[in-house]
Amino acid sequence: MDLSLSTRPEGDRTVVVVGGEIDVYTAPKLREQLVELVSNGNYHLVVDMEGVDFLDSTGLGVLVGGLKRVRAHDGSLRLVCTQERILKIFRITGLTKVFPIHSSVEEAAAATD
Amino acid sequence: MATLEVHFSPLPAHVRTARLIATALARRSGIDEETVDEVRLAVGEACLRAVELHQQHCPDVPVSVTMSDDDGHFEVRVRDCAPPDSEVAGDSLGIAAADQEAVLNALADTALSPAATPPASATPASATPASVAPSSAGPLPDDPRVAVESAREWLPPGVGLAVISGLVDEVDVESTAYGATVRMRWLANGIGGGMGGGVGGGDEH
Repeated sequence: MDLSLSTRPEGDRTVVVVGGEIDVYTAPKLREQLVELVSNGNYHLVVDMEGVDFLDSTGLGVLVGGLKRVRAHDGSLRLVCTQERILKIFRITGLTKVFPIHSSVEEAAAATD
Repeated sequence: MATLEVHFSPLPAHVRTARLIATALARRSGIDEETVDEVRLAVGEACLRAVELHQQHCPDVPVSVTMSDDDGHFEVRVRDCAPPDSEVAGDSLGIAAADQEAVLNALADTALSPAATPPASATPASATPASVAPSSAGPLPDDPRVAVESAREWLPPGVGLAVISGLVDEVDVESTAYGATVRMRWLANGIGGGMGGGVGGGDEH
Protein backbone atom coordinates (compact mmCIF):
# COMPACT_ATOMS: atom_id res chain seq x y z
CA MET A 1 0.00 0.00 0.00
CA ASP A 2 1.39 3.38 -0.92
CA LEU A 3 1.32 6.57 1.08
CA SER A 4 -1.63 8.92 0.79
CA LEU A 5 -1.48 12.51 1.98
CA SER A 6 -4.01 15.31 2.22
CA THR A 7 -4.21 18.50 4.24
CA ARG A 8 -7.05 20.69 5.47
CA PRO A 9 -7.38 23.60 7.87
CA GLU A 10 -9.13 23.00 11.17
CA GLY A 11 -9.41 26.22 13.14
CA ASP A 12 -5.89 27.56 13.60
CA ARG A 13 -4.41 24.11 12.98
CA THR A 14 -3.52 22.31 9.81
CA VAL A 15 -4.53 18.68 9.69
CA VAL A 16 -2.36 16.31 7.67
CA VAL A 17 -4.24 13.10 6.96
CA VAL A 18 -1.81 10.27 6.30
CA GLY A 19 -2.76 6.85 5.01
CA GLY A 20 -0.93 3.70 3.96
CA GLU A 21 2.64 2.84 4.78
CA ILE A 22 5.18 5.32 6.12
CA ASP A 23 8.47 3.58 5.52
CA VAL A 24 11.90 4.21 4.07
CA TYR A 25 10.37 4.31 0.60
CA THR A 26 7.51 6.74 1.27
CA ALA A 27 8.84 8.79 4.20
CA PRO A 28 10.53 11.34 1.90
CA LYS A 29 7.06 12.32 0.57
CA LEU A 30 5.78 12.95 4.07
CA ARG A 31 8.93 14.88 4.85
CA GLU A 32 8.42 17.02 1.78
CA GLN A 33 4.81 17.72 2.77
CA LEU A 34 5.76 18.76 6.31
CA VAL A 35 8.61 20.95 5.08
CA GLU A 36 6.28 22.65 2.61
CA LEU A 37 3.60 23.30 5.24
CA VAL A 38 6.12 24.87 7.59
CA SER A 39 7.66 26.91 4.78
CA ASN A 40 4.17 28.25 4.04
CA GLY A 41 3.68 29.36 7.63
CA ASN A 42 1.65 26.46 8.99
CA TYR A 43 3.20 25.99 12.40
CA HIS A 44 0.45 24.13 14.23
CA LEU A 45 0.09 20.70 12.71
CA VAL A 46 -2.12 17.75 13.54
CA VAL A 47 -0.98 14.56 11.85
CA ASP A 48 -3.91 12.16 11.61
CA MET A 49 -2.41 8.67 11.52
CA GLU A 50 -5.60 6.65 11.84
CA GLY A 51 -5.28 5.49 8.24
CA VAL A 52 -1.62 4.51 8.62
CA ASP A 53 -1.08 0.84 8.14
CA PHE A 54 2.63 0.69 8.86
CA LEU A 55 5.24 3.00 10.38
CA ASP A 56 8.96 2.31 10.63
CA SER A 57 11.85 4.20 12.19
CA THR A 58 12.30 6.27 9.03
CA GLY A 59 8.76 7.53 9.47
CA LEU A 60 9.51 8.33 13.10
CA GLY A 61 12.53 10.31 11.96
CA VAL A 62 10.38 12.37 9.62
CA LEU A 63 7.84 13.09 12.37
CA VAL A 64 10.65 14.11 14.72
CA GLY A 65 12.00 16.35 11.96
CA GLY A 66 8.54 17.90 11.56
CA LEU A 67 8.31 18.51 15.28
CA LYS A 68 11.69 20.23 15.27
CA ARG A 69 10.65 22.44 12.37
CA VAL A 70 7.41 23.67 13.93
CA ARG A 71 9.05 24.15 17.31
CA ALA A 72 11.56 26.46 15.69
CA HIS A 73 8.52 28.69 15.05
CA ASP A 74 6.93 28.10 18.46
CA GLY A 75 4.53 25.75 16.77
CA SER A 76 3.17 22.34 17.64
CA LEU A 77 2.86 18.92 16.09
CA ARG A 78 0.21 16.62 17.48
CA LEU A 79 -0.54 13.09 16.45
CA VAL A 80 -3.89 11.36 16.19
CA CYS A 81 -3.50 7.62 16.64
CA THR A 82 -5.46 4.92 18.42
CA GLN A 83 -3.98 1.90 16.63
CA GLU A 84 -2.06 -0.30 19.00
CA ARG A 85 0.38 -1.56 16.37
CA ILE A 86 1.41 1.99 15.48
CA LEU A 87 1.48 3.19 19.09
CA LYS A 88 3.83 0.34 19.93
CA ILE A 89 6.77 1.81 18.03
CA PHE A 90 6.26 5.18 19.75
CA ARG A 91 6.37 3.41 23.10
CA ILE A 92 9.43 1.30 22.27
CA THR A 93 11.36 4.37 21.19
CA GLY A 94 10.22 6.54 24.08
CA LEU A 95 8.60 9.02 21.71
CA THR A 96 5.28 8.88 23.55
CA LYS A 97 7.01 11.35 25.88
CA VAL A 98 7.81 13.61 22.96
CA PHE A 99 4.65 13.72 20.85
CA PRO A 100 1.24 14.62 22.21
CA ILE A 101 -0.89 11.70 20.98
CA HIS A 102 -4.65 12.16 20.74
CA SER A 103 -7.55 9.85 20.04
CA SER A 104 -9.33 12.15 17.58
CA VAL A 105 -8.64 15.10 15.32
CA GLU A 106 -11.21 17.14 17.25
CA GLU A 107 -9.39 16.48 20.50
CA ALA A 108 -6.03 17.34 18.96
CA ALA A 109 -7.35 20.50 17.34
CA ALA A 110 -8.84 21.68 20.63
CA ALA A 111 -5.74 20.84 22.68
CA THR A 112 -3.47 23.54 24.03
CA ASP A 113 -0.17 23.13 25.77
CA MET B 1 11.99 -27.48 7.62
CA ALA B 2 11.12 -25.04 4.87
CA THR B 3 13.36 -22.21 3.82
CA LEU B 4 13.00 -19.21 1.57
CA GLU B 5 15.90 -16.99 0.65
CA VAL B 6 15.69 -13.53 -0.91
CA HIS B 7 18.54 -11.45 -2.29
CA PHE B 8 17.78 -7.87 -3.16
CA SER B 9 19.66 -4.80 -4.33
CA PRO B 10 20.03 -2.31 -1.47
CA LEU B 11 17.11 -0.06 -2.43
CA PRO B 12 14.32 1.28 -0.20
CA ALA B 13 11.59 -0.13 -2.45
CA HIS B 14 12.87 -3.67 -1.91
CA VAL B 15 12.70 -3.33 1.86
CA ARG B 16 8.95 -3.27 1.43
CA THR B 17 9.01 -6.38 -0.73
CA ALA B 18 11.11 -8.25 1.81
CA ARG B 19 8.68 -7.15 4.51
CA LEU B 20 5.70 -8.42 2.54
CA ILE B 21 7.32 -11.80 2.00
CA ALA B 22 8.20 -12.11 5.69
CA THR B 23 4.64 -11.18 6.65
CA ALA B 24 3.16 -13.78 4.32
CA LEU B 25 5.49 -16.51 5.56
CA ALA B 26 4.94 -15.61 9.21
CA ARG B 27 1.19 -16.03 8.69
CA ARG B 28 1.79 -19.34 7.01
CA SER B 29 3.83 -20.46 9.98
CA GLY B 30 0.79 -19.95 12.15
CA ILE B 31 1.98 -16.84 13.96
CA ASP B 32 -0.85 -14.80 15.46
CA GLU B 33 -1.79 -11.51 13.84
CA GLU B 34 -0.37 -9.30 16.57
CA THR B 35 3.00 -11.01 16.30
CA VAL B 36 2.85 -10.85 12.51
CA ASP B 37 2.81 -7.06 12.92
CA GLU B 38 5.99 -7.35 14.99
CA VAL B 39 7.60 -9.58 12.35
CA ARG B 40 6.71 -7.01 9.72
CA LEU B 41 8.25 -4.13 11.64
CA ALA B 42 11.32 -6.02 12.88
CA VAL B 43 12.17 -7.50 9.47
CA GLY B 44 11.63 -4.08 7.91
CA GLU B 45 14.04 -2.47 10.37
CA ALA B 46 16.65 -5.20 9.90
CA CYS B 47 16.45 -4.89 6.10
CA LEU B 48 16.54 -1.11 6.30
CA ARG B 49 19.68 -1.26 8.43
CA ALA B 50 21.30 -3.64 5.94
CA VAL B 51 20.28 -1.43 2.99
CA GLU B 52 21.90 1.58 4.63
CA LEU B 53 25.09 -0.34 5.34
CA HIS B 54 25.25 -1.69 1.79
CA GLN B 55 24.66 1.75 0.32
CA GLN B 56 27.64 3.00 2.30
CA HIS B 57 29.98 0.07 1.89
CA CYS B 58 28.97 -2.21 -0.94
CA PRO B 59 26.14 -0.78 -3.09
CA ASP B 60 26.54 -3.49 -5.74
CA VAL B 61 26.13 -6.36 -3.30
CA PRO B 62 22.61 -7.62 -2.64
CA VAL B 63 21.21 -7.90 0.87
CA SER B 64 20.36 -11.48 1.85
CA VAL B 65 17.34 -12.51 3.84
CA THR B 66 16.71 -16.11 4.84
CA MET B 67 13.39 -17.14 6.33
CA SER B 68 12.69 -20.55 7.70
CA ASP B 69 10.37 -22.39 9.99
CA ASP B 70 11.60 -25.25 12.03
CA ASP B 71 10.77 -26.86 15.38
CA GLY B 72 7.83 -24.58 15.93
CA HIS B 73 9.82 -21.43 15.30
CA PHE B 74 9.81 -18.89 12.52
CA GLU B 75 13.27 -17.50 11.97
CA VAL B 76 14.49 -14.60 9.84
CA ARG B 77 18.15 -13.89 9.21
CA VAL B 78 19.22 -10.66 7.53
CA ARG B 79 22.84 -10.57 6.37
CA ASP B 80 24.79 -7.47 5.50
CA CYS B 81 28.23 -6.98 3.99
CA ALA B 82 29.46 -4.15 6.17
CA PRO B 83 32.84 -4.36 7.87
CA PRO B 84 32.49 -4.86 11.63
CA ASP B 85 33.95 -1.48 12.48
CA SER B 86 31.45 0.45 10.36
CA GLU B 87 29.43 2.91 12.35
CA VAL B 88 26.00 1.31 12.14
CA ALA B 89 27.25 -2.24 12.30
CA GLY B 90 29.31 -1.29 15.32
CA ASP B 91 26.29 -0.98 17.53
CA SER B 92 25.47 -4.61 17.17
CA LEU B 93 22.78 -6.23 19.25
CA GLY B 94 25.54 -7.42 21.46
CA ILE B 95 25.14 -3.94 22.87
CA ALA B 96 24.07 -3.87 26.46
CA ALA B 97 20.54 -2.86 27.31
CA ALA B 98 22.05 0.33 28.69
CA ASP B 99 23.33 1.20 25.24
CA GLN B 100 19.93 0.70 23.68
CA GLU B 101 18.53 2.91 26.34
CA ALA B 102 21.17 5.49 25.49
CA VAL B 103 20.16 5.38 21.83
CA LEU B 104 16.52 5.88 22.69
CA ASN B 105 17.30 8.63 25.17
CA ALA B 106 19.33 10.31 22.46
CA LEU B 107 16.31 10.08 20.16
CA ALA B 108 13.99 11.59 22.76
CA ASP B 109 16.53 14.30 23.57
CA THR B 110 16.91 15.09 19.91
CA ALA B 111 13.18 15.49 19.55
CA LEU B 112 12.83 17.61 22.65
CA SER B 113 15.88 19.82 22.31
CA PRO B 114 15.12 23.32 21.12
CA ALA B 115 17.87 23.34 18.52
CA ALA B 116 16.54 23.52 15.00
CA THR B 117 19.57 21.89 13.46
CA PRO B 118 20.03 18.16 13.11
CA PRO B 119 21.74 16.45 16.00
CA ALA B 120 25.38 15.62 15.91
CA SER B 121 25.54 11.95 15.19
CA ALA B 122 26.01 9.70 18.19
CA THR B 123 29.08 8.27 16.50
CA PRO B 124 32.03 10.21 15.15
CA ALA B 125 31.75 8.71 11.69
CA SER B 126 28.30 9.91 10.83
CA ALA B 127 26.51 8.20 7.99
CA THR B 128 24.84 11.44 7.05
CA PRO B 129 26.94 13.97 5.18
CA ALA B 130 26.56 17.55 6.27
CA SER B 131 25.15 18.40 2.86
CA VAL B 132 21.94 16.56 3.67
CA ALA B 133 20.63 19.18 6.06
CA PRO B 134 16.99 19.68 7.02
CA SER B 135 17.10 23.20 5.63
CA SER B 136 17.36 21.73 2.14
CA ALA B 137 13.67 22.02 1.54
CA GLY B 138 13.92 21.52 -2.19
CA PRO B 139 12.59 18.54 -4.07
CA LEU B 140 14.10 15.24 -3.16
CA PRO B 141 16.89 14.01 -5.34
CA ASP B 142 16.37 10.82 -7.25
CA ASP B 143 19.39 9.20 -5.73
CA PRO B 144 17.82 6.55 -3.48
CA ARG B 145 20.74 6.74 -1.15
CA VAL B 146 20.19 10.40 -0.47
CA ALA B 147 16.49 9.69 -0.03
CA VAL B 148 17.25 7.21 2.73
CA GLU B 149 19.59 9.58 4.48
CA SER B 150 17.40 12.63 4.28
CA ALA B 151 14.43 10.69 5.61
CA ARG B 152 16.49 9.55 8.56
CA GLU B 153 17.97 12.95 9.26
CA TRP B 154 16.91 13.11 12.90
CA LEU B 155 17.53 9.57 13.95
CA PRO B 156 20.56 8.61 15.98
CA PRO B 157 22.28 5.52 14.61
CA GLY B 158 21.09 2.35 16.24
CA VAL B 159 17.41 3.22 16.45
CA GLY B 160 16.55 0.37 14.08
CA LEU B 161 18.29 -2.20 16.25
CA ALA B 162 16.79 -0.70 19.37
CA VAL B 163 13.33 -1.11 17.82
CA ILE B 164 14.11 -4.70 16.86
CA SER B 165 15.31 -5.61 20.33
CA GLY B 166 12.24 -3.94 21.80
CA LEU B 167 9.99 -6.06 19.58
CA VAL B 168 11.66 -9.45 19.38
CA ASP B 169 12.39 -11.68 22.33
CA GLU B 170 14.90 -13.89 20.61
CA VAL B 171 17.39 -11.82 18.66
CA ASP B 172 21.13 -11.81 18.20
CA VAL B 173 23.74 -10.38 15.90
CA GLU B 174 26.64 -12.41 14.65
CA SER B 175 29.49 -10.31 13.31
CA THR B 176 32.19 -11.61 11.03
CA ALA B 177 34.90 -9.89 9.04
CA TYR B 178 32.52 -9.92 6.07
CA GLY B 179 29.47 -8.45 7.71
CA ALA B 180 26.85 -9.24 10.28
CA THR B 181 23.74 -11.36 10.48
CA VAL B 182 20.74 -10.21 12.47
CA ARG B 183 18.84 -13.32 13.52
CA MET B 184 15.30 -13.05 14.84
CA ARG B 185 13.13 -15.89 16.04
CA TRP B 186 9.46 -16.16 16.92
CA LEU B 187 7.43 -18.99 18.33
CA ALA B 188 5.05 -20.35 15.71
CA ASN B 189 2.17 -22.55 16.74
CA GLY B 190 2.09 -24.31 13.43
CA ILE B 191 -1.66 -24.13 12.86
CA GLY B 192 -1.03 -22.82 9.39
CA GLY B 193 0.71 -26.02 8.39
CA GLY B 194 4.06 -24.32 8.14
CA MET B 195 5.76 -22.46 5.34
CA GLY B 196 6.26 -25.70 3.49
CA GLY B 197 2.60 -25.93 2.64
CA GLY B 198 0.37 -28.64 4.02
CA VAL B 199 -3.30 -28.72 4.66
CA GLY B 200 -5.11 -25.44 4.91
CA GLY B 201 -2.09 -23.15 4.87
CA GLY B 202 -3.33 -19.91 6.36
CA ASP B 203 -1.83 -17.65 3.79
CA GLU B 204 -4.80 -15.59 2.77
CA HIS B 205 -3.86 -11.93 2.64
